[in-house]
Parts: sequence; structure tokens; C-alpha cells
Amino acid sequence: MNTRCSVCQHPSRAQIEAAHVGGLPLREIGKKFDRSKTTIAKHLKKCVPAAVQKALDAKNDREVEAGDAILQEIESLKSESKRLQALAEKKKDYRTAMSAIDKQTRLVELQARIVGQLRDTEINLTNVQIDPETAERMAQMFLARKKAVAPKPETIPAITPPSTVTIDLAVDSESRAFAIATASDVKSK
Amino acid sequence: MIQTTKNAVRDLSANAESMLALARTDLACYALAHHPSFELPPFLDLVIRKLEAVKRGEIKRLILSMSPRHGRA
Repeated sequence: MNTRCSVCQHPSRAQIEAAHVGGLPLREIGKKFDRSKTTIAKHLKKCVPAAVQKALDAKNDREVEAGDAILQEIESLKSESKRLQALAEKKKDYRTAMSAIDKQTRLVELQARIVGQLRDTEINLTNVQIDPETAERMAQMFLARKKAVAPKPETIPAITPPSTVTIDLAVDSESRAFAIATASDVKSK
Repeated sequence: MIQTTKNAVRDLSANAESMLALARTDLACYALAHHPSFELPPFLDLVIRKLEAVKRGEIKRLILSMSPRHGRA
């Protein structure tokens, strides 16, 4: 327990964390438990991963209870989601089934984030499929923007054109910000 | 010159590695890779040039003032 964190010392700490797992916005949690949104966020960022990690390492420690409760809550939500997915599939309601899968994905992400397996600032992989027309437009756009400077023949490896070019773009956090800006540019057009 | 450019376009677009490099280095190409319907109007070209200058460290602070629904966000 972090003695400087007012949420760690809060009598309803477990309920606060359960509310977060349940998807209640931080502002709402803060209002309900008389803490600021920032305080709750700091607690979730700094104290909860440590608590969950301890839950995984040593079950007998008293402090692990809070982290354990979160993991249990996530597990129960996951099993509930799986149950609903099976029901939807039985009724051939694939839309609902897909929605359940989506929820499970989010829960897995949340679980990974809580135990510190995922870091938002790390490299993100984006799978992009480029058809030959788009590839040609990209090349045209690039050359037009760079004043059509033709590359030297020896710099271009001779590769037969694929029907579809699939590339994995390793995007660092900075480039991702650009990508997000570009995506919204396109949306707003 | 026209023939050379055409060859360059053909050679670049035929190579997956070149596409990867283009998408990494050129923000407009990156946008096109994500959204094949993306068009590059002159004002967005200007915005992209400025953003690339920020990335290179040539511009330390950048303010964009644009009309609503023109891709500012």
C-alpha cells in the first residue's frame, strides 16, 4: 500500500478499482468516492499494477487482495462475455457474437495493461494492405512532392510486382500521432 | 524527363520495401496507404510540410489556424 496515495488508504479502495474495471468513467468514480479524477488516475497508473503484480507473485500477502479482486472481476466479465457469445452464436446472431468478441479483446487488453504487459508508448504494428493502384498513386504523390527526382536504377531492387502489397508498418509513438492526425483529416473530408 | 518519372513511379510502386519506406518517410504517402481514397489538396500539402518540419526539428512550435472540417484535428 502506498502511504502517500489517498486512494490506497480509502476504505472503499476495492469498490473504486471494481468501478474502474466495470468501465465507470474516472470523473464519476471520483465524484462517487470523494476523490479527484487525477488522484484516481494516478492510483490506477502507479499503485494498481504493483498490486496486481504482487497478486500474481504471492497470493498470501495481505496487500494482494485489491489486485486479486480486479483480476477476478475481469475474469468473471470475460466468462460472462464468452457465455453471451455462445448464446448469440446459437441463435445465429453473429453481430452480437462479434460484439462479445470485441468486449473480450478489450478485457484482455485491460488485463494486460493492469499487469504491465502492455505499454501504450511502445511500438504499434499496423497492418496495411496496398493494392497496385494505390502503390502507384503513392509513388506518384511522393515524386510530385519531392519534385520528381528519379531514383538511380541501382538503388531499386528488381522485384516482380505483387498483386497486393502487404506491409507491416512499425510506427513509433511520434509517427502514430501523425497517423491519427491524418486519419481524422480524411474523415473530415 | 516524363519517361524517367514514369519509370520511377513504376519501379517504386513495384517494390514493397519502397512502399514501406515511402509510408515511413512521407506523411502524405502514409495517409494514402491507410486510406486509398485520400486526395492531397494544396492546403493539406502545406500542413504536411509544416508537420514534417516539426518532426525534423526545424520548427519548434506550430499553430494551425484553419476552418472547421478541413483536417485540422
